[in-house]
Amino acid sequence: MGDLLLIEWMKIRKYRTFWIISGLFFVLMPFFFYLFKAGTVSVTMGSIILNKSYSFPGLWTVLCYTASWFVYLLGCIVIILVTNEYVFKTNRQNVIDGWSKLDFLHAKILMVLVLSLVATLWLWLYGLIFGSIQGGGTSPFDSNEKLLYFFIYTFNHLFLALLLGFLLKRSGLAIGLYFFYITILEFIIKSIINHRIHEGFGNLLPLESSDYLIPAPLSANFNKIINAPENYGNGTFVIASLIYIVIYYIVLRIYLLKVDWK
Amino acid sequence: MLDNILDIQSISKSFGNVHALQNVSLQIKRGSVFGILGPNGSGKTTLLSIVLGVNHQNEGAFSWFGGETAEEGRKKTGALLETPNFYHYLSGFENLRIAARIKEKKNTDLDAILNTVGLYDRKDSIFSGYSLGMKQRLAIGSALIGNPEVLVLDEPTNGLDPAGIAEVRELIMSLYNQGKTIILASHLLDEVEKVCTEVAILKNGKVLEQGSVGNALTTGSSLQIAAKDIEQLKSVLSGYPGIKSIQVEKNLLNINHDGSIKAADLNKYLSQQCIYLSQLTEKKKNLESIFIELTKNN
Repeated sequence: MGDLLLIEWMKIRKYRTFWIISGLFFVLMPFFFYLFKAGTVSVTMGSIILNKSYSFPGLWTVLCYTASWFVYLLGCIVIILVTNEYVFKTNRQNVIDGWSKLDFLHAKILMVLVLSLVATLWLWLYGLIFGSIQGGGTSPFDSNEKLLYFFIYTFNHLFLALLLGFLLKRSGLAIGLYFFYITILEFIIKSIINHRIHEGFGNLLPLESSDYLIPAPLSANFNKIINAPENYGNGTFVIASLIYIVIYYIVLRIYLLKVDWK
Repeated sequence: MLDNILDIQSISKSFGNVHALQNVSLQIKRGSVFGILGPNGSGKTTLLSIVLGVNHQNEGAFSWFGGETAEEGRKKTGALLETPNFYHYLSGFENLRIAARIKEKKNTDLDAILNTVGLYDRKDSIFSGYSLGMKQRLAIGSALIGNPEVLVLDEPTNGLDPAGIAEVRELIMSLYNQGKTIILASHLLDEVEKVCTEVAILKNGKVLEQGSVGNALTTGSSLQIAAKDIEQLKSVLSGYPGIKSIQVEKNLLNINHDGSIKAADLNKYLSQQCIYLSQLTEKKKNLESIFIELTKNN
């Protein structure tokens, strides 16, 4: 297993596109978070509540929510890393050199796992520093389950990106579909299910289920105001997200064992 | 030492309506240089992709080293399939390091390999900056990692200049002399004839012929003869034993025979029939004429 990961690392450590796009996540996310904070200070009404949200433990909610928008960048890099292998036929070469197709898949999954862990760790470190500078609030280790939710959210997202990369083989197509799904398609399917089939079922769609784990700050208050229907608890969303990850894995496994690498 | 390295039994493969391979069976003996010869699109690469585990056959089976699966077989095999496939943003050396890791041969002396394939001086250059010939050399170098028992080389001289082709040929011969088995797919007859001990001719996914380059495929011979009256000559020869076909070519006859006809006997027979030859040339068939004959007829 260590070898699979090491080989993936050898593949990407000098790949400029990887560093640029993931750099955008690791650098832009904290920068935007800072701007977001600076901007909201001037907002009347909510300013008092939001100000508090930049101290522990409310900080974790705001930080995870902000970072969740930047996870799409990591999704893109995962798609590029998979489709590159198809374009340059290095997937075939890896197999010819001695890997099984499942070794190839597992190496990519480990890469996605590590990327999700590193992103979460970065968020935690940044949150600790930011929150400490901000001062006030409770212990930095309160509400750290938000970080676990962020990890599940990221892993679920990146695994879906991995699936699309493997199935579509071309980066443009896969990235296009990935964004179409996360911005439009899932929302439409969710609305149809919730209105036509059963209220709430649509919230259990692949990415929705982990989106609900890191809701927008104050969304609970907002939902109360508009009298939104009862939603599932976090436990349900965690289980749903994990079930999707298992499904992605099974689909990929069956697909790779069946398909030819021309 | 004549056991089979690779045993292919009745493999068939289709891509949609295209029958890429039809009932292909081959036995490749240890220590041989086995040539798979065929025109472009004959199924050579498809066959090699299957035995290397990249593609799946629809029917049939194969086994490496007397019963091992594709996965086990691959670890003892160095292969170059179709085009050199490497990470374009990494150097030649870094690409070989990845290949060595995957092959679980991390302690391989990669510098020595790069020297063998003449890339040592450019080992730190980025792969995408390599010429086609250099890419091909790197792919051959990658196949040599771990000193494998078997080398599978699909069109190894693609993109190489004449000097490069001669070097690859020498490399193959030296590997053969070290006792390695080499499976060489090519559409270049000359290449196969010069380096292979055995050959299978493939066309439209079917094996047309297989045998040793020295014997089986070079039996059958031809004679070129000429006399004053070509038509009379042709009619006299029509009943002569051993003749397979006679073709009239300008003012001479091309006679294909099964190898049993001796020029002196034929000359004697014709003079007894009061025909005196103005030309008699004996021609040994080479792989090229066999290949053209076979692929034309099928």
